[in-house]
Amino acid sequence: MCATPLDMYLSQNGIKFEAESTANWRGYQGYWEVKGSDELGYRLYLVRLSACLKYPKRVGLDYLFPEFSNGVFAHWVTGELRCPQGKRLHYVHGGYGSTYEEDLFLSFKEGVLQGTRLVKNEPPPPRSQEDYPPYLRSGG
Amino acid sequence: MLKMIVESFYAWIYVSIGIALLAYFGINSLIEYRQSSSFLKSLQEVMGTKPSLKDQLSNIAGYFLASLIILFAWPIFISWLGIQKWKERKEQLERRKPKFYCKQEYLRHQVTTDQAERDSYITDPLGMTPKIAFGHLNKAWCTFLAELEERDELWFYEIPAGSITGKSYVPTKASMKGYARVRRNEIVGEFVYESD
Repeated sequence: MCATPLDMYLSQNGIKFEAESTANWRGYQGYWEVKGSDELGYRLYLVRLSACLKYPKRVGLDYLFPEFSNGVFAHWVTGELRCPQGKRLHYVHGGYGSTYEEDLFLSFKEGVLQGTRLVKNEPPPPRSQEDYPPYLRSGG
Repeated sequence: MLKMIVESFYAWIYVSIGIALLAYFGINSLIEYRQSSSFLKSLQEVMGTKPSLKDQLSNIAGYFLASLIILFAWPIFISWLGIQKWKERKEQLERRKPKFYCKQEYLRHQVTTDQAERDSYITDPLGMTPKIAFGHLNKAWCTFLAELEERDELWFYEIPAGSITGKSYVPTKASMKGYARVRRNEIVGEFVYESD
């Protein structure tokens, strides 16, 4: 998922994790699920957490939510979350800049799923050296 | 004769102060230039933005004019410097102030703690949220309330999607809702309960 819906919870509670490596500066991985039924609606749940508290000590969901170690309803989430799917078409070294075959957008209102939309992506047109400023060109 | 001596004495004092100031700021500028010049030159070479002869000449002219002002109109220069320092200090204090998502324009209406808590209970059929005010955010809410002083007002706020928040110049993708602690018309704390 190309979004960090847990960040707001962490900042509200003044919690910071330690970056274990340059591959994950935020210091944690959250595992999310959309659960529910057509009658009751679908909701976003944080079902697992692997966070680096102080290297090499890792903590799980029970560290943040001691009474809800099986899952937490993310009722603070409003907005669209992007879930890339399929092959990676173009790699960008940083953030969520890479392009994948499809993007599934899940729209939530206070943690409750409102709708979804699927966007099919094309690989971005190749860029020539002239598209970059001189100091970023290769072989210069 | 005496008048002339007195006048020239004062003139010398005036000019001496100008010379002292010019020497002080000149040496400082030179040190700063030497410290940054080698890095700046290499950066300009890489970027292909080496200053032209015209740029260099206008630079020299600028320095010459500034020197004349410091030397002969130093009271004006000192006043200008004082204003600049005061502005800098003010900006520094502004930068040090804590930043909040909420800005004045997003404040909607004043509420009491009870009113805020009344509609904050979360329904979850799977029971994965506590049945307390603001659910999993209850601890953050309590921390926020603990800092609420008697003179503070509690305001509900809403930031519409696509707006600029007080923390970022990038427009928000979704709406944000929360409560702000307002003291003498200034936001001094906030609690966000809905965001992306």
